[in-house]
Amino acid sequence: MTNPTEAEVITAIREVFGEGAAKLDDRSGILVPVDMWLRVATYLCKDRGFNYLGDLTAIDYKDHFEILYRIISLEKNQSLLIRVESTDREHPEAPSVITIWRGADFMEREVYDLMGIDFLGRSPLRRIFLWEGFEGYPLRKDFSL
Amino acid sequence: MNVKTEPLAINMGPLHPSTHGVFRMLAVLDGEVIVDLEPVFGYLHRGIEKLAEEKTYKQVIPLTDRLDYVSSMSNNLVYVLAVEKLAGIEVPERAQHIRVIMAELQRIASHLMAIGTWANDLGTFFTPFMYMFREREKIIDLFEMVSGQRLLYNYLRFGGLSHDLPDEFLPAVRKLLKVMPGYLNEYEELLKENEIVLARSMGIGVLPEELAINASASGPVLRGSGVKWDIRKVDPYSLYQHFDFDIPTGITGDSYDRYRVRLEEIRQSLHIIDQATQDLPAGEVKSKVPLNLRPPRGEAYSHIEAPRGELGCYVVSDGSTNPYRFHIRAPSLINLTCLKDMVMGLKIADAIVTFGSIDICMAEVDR
Amino acid sequence: MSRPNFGIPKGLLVTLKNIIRHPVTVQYPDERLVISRRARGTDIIWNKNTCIACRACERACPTKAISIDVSRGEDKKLKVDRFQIDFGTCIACGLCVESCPVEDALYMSYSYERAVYRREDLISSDDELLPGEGKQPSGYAHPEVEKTLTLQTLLLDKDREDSQ
Ligand code: SF4
Ligand code: SF4
Repeated sequence: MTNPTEAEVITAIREVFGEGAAKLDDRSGILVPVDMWLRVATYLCKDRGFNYLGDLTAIDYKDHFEILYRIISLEKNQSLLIRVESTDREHPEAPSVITIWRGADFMEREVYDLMGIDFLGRSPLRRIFLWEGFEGYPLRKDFSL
Repeated sequence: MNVKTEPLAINMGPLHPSTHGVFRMLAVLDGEVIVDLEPVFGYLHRGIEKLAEEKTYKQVIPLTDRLDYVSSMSNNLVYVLAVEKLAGIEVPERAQHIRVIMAELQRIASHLMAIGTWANDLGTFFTPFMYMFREREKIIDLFEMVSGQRLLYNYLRFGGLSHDLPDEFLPAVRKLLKVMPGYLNEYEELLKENEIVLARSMGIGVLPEELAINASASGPVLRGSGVKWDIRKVDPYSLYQHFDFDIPTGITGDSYDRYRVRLEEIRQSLHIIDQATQDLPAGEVKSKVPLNLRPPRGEAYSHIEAPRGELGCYVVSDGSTNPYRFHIRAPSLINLTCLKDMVMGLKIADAIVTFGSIDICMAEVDR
Repeated sequence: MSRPNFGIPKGLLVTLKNIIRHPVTVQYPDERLVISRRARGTDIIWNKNTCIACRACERACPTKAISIDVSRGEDKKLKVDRFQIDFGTCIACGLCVESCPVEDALYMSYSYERAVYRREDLISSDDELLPGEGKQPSGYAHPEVEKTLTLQTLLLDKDREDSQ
């Protein structure tokens, strides 16, 4: 599996959506602002051939949440890591990509259930593993066992 | 006469013999036809991702055993690969070969169980199931020989394995390779042309190629729909690039195709094991790794082709002895995404066949 | 199905063939198979005299099943006052045995039957951890013990290569 040069994809995204739409992250992957993500995702899927959502997860970095999308192009055998940040501690939100990649359905529900991130633009999220009425979101760092 | 029907919601499970664990299908029926279905799970949720944050890196290995207990070797493998990537640990070549042998034996054992239970769901009560369990038992014996346990092996370590193979292992594997093809032919005679099996599974639970890709299906479910996608080929790990094997695919994406893909994969796995045992290098099986591993700050993602699909492991380190975040991409969970689309308009009995052909392990779905 | 097909008779031939095969099950508990020489059994065996009270096993345990009380004796040497394992939480992973720095202090056991009436009975300490009736050390992480045990029975060995 090869990675397309991230710089190349960033240039392409910037050409379409403007300067602020993509940034190289110093770890790896591309950082996309949360308000542009849905449009960028549509572009990546439809025009760049990233038609397979490999993985979707989130991390709690205490001051912000980071949502990771690992998207794959089956034809070109390329993979790309997209990071989206959500800074609101109380009500973190991100757009739902379920209309682009159906596979995001359960993954988004899982992230909502365990990390408490709300995905907008889809049928209301319900807990997937824990029962309704469970307090708190276990994978957050302030939830102690 | 015009008969008016009313939709009826029924619960299948969570304790139902066909649900392979504690899984509930909330089905809405019109007569006997399914018009809506919602999978409900979480009965086996143990919070493994959270638990791992409180354990040292090494202590997480036995935890990963408990993700998909039908193929714990694969779970061990994906986790140690991720940590090795994170900490930059080299693995001796002998250990890499043995890992391939173990992963492929595990695939055979798991697929045998998948086909056996699926045949059970079809209504061929227990005959194929028992035959396949007999062969699976032979493989479990081998795992017991190397690791000391029959189900939760805890065999792989960072930088290699916990122990080298015992002397009696290789002759036993050679013997297995010799007898297995005969048994596989038998299964094929038993199921491949059986009219009842064909009638019950052909054209049932069809997953079109486009939907399979869009819904992130993986493993035999994706390949059954005709997509030639196998992590062992597209992103080789553990020396898979050195072995020669084919990727079997289906055509229509129905339950029968998924069964065919699994059976064919068993043959390919035997072929890989054959190559891996033939040029098994001598030497160490474990490289030097500090007792209390502290990987540098950073993150690593590894993915492998587990028996049920693409199994991914994402580990984030903050430089301490415990993982900061441990995430598993569970193929069983994601393969269920399109269950609803596959069973719409079918009868309840066909939904069970379809569900069985996806082959999930509830422990991995719920984690 | 319209075309003539012999799927079912073919399958029946396979089942017929299996009737005359060697049976693969045994009548437990009258007959017993030999388990793996590396078995990680249901007990852990601890040797009071060789243990150096380093607590490596306690730290290695993922489920905190082991608890050790250590004190310094008159000769300034560490000694174990109490060594306790709760087999109710032990998951038989073997990490404690692997991490023990002393050659012959900690072993997994070679047994696989353990049933008690109360949970508290699963907590064993000190002398209860010595080897005893039906509780022999296994060869897990102890190659010298592994060599002395009998070979595991394999179902594979019942297969005749010409029986296909
Ligand atoms: S076998 Fe594992 S769980 Fe049991 S006491 Fe040893 S380290 Fe702990
Ligand atoms: S690791 Fe071994 S020597 Fe150290 S306390 Fe445990 S049993 Fe004793």
